[in-house]
Amino acid sequence: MKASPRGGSGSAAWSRRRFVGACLAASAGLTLTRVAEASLARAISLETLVRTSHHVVFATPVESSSRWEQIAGRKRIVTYTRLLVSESMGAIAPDESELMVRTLGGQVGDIGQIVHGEAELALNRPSVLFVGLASQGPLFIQAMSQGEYPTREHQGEPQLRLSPRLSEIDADARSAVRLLNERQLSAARKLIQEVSR
Amino acid sequence: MPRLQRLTLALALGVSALIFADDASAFCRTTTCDPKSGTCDVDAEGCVLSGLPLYWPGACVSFSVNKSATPLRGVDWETTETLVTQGFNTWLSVDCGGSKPSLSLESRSPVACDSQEYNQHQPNANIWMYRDDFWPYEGAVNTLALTTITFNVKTGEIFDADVEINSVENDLTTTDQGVKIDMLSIVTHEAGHFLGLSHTVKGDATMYARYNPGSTSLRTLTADDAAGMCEIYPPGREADSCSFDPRHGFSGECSGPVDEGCSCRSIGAPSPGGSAPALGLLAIGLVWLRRRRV
Repeated sequence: MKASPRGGSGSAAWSRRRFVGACLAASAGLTLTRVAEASLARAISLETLVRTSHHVVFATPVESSSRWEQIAGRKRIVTYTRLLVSESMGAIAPDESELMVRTLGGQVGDIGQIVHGEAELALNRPSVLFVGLASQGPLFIQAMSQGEYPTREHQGEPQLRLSPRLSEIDADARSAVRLLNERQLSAARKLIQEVSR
Repeated sequence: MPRLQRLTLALALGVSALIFADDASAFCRTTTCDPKSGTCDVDAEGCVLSGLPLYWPGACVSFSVNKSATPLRGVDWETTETLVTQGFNTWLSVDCGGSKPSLSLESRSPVACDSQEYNQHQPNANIWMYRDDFWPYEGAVNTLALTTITFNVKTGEIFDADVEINSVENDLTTTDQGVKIDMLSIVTHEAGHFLGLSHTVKGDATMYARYNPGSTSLRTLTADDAAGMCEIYPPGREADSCSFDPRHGFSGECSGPVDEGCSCRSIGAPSPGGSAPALGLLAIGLVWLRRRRV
């Protein structure tokens, strides 16, 4: 990923530009179909999830844009989602308060993709997110739905839940989904920071 | 169908539903509502309740297996085709109150195309394919398989389905001995998605979202799976005529890249798919660019 010409977080600045570019492409014609997906995946450990993520953030998706893209030469619908970061929980904090991530699936006009194994990133839903950094390309949610933990208020504090899209195999006691599910945000933060050291 | 026959069938399905009521209420159908929009009604288990449920509109559907199959795992396309056929037949043979589901499947294999794609104006194929060289989705090498279903958001009609299997990262096995990642279990689960089902919360069901390596349990459907299949394809439904041709005809060759545009949404503009949010964000984008230049 190239650095931003104005410095700071290359990923955030690059992503915002991409998002605007995606919106500029919105003038293209709308169509009449939509796509759904499903997957099974191996469960990964919290340690691996933290180690392979560039950022771990508590953030809220506030805006999204979907479009067709080529991924490894294959046509896919992807969604760029703008995240407002409330807190950095990992070793590397984002340079800016916003991140743009790309996920598989989405909707272009009446064509869309639902990836049951992919992170959902529903708008306005605060979540703990493990964000990966591609060697070339945008930020993404590490391990798809295993890197997304939407929260809901419980006893006065956000509590982590599993992604609605989660599907996995071989989830043992060290897996992120077992360790983080139904944890209060403060407890999850402590766990993540311990693993980050 | 004569009225008496319809009545008998309805009664049979009703009795069947009552018998399975305890076990059959958890299945979840994939719907047209896009969870990314943040506007879908979702139950406590994460099943999307709003939108139109997906289904194949015709009485007949075809699938194809990529001719390369997986040399890496030593599974050829004929074996794969046999497994996929077996997986589908498991679903097609469930008992819906004394009758079978109103759907037939046929193989159009092998095909040269190894891409997940849906062509809006050209012939298509519903392809099962392996990924032997690399898994092309960043940060998701732990994925075992991806199924892509294309459908009409206004009707829920499925137009196309493709399945990618991550053979480069997973030790797939096809026999009953020395089972590691059991292909037939995976194929049967993905076939459920292909047919329009989402994940269920029933822990013993094929459509449950967890698989234990070494197990072959997903090969066998439960009452919950069967109830889902019977709801989507009840015997005697008014389906389109039988044609195994995919939408716009059959082609085993891949097409070229397409530019289908984009759409945008944000909080306060939750209307997915409409032109208003897209055009609104287009305007915002232009204003933003203009400010950047000042």
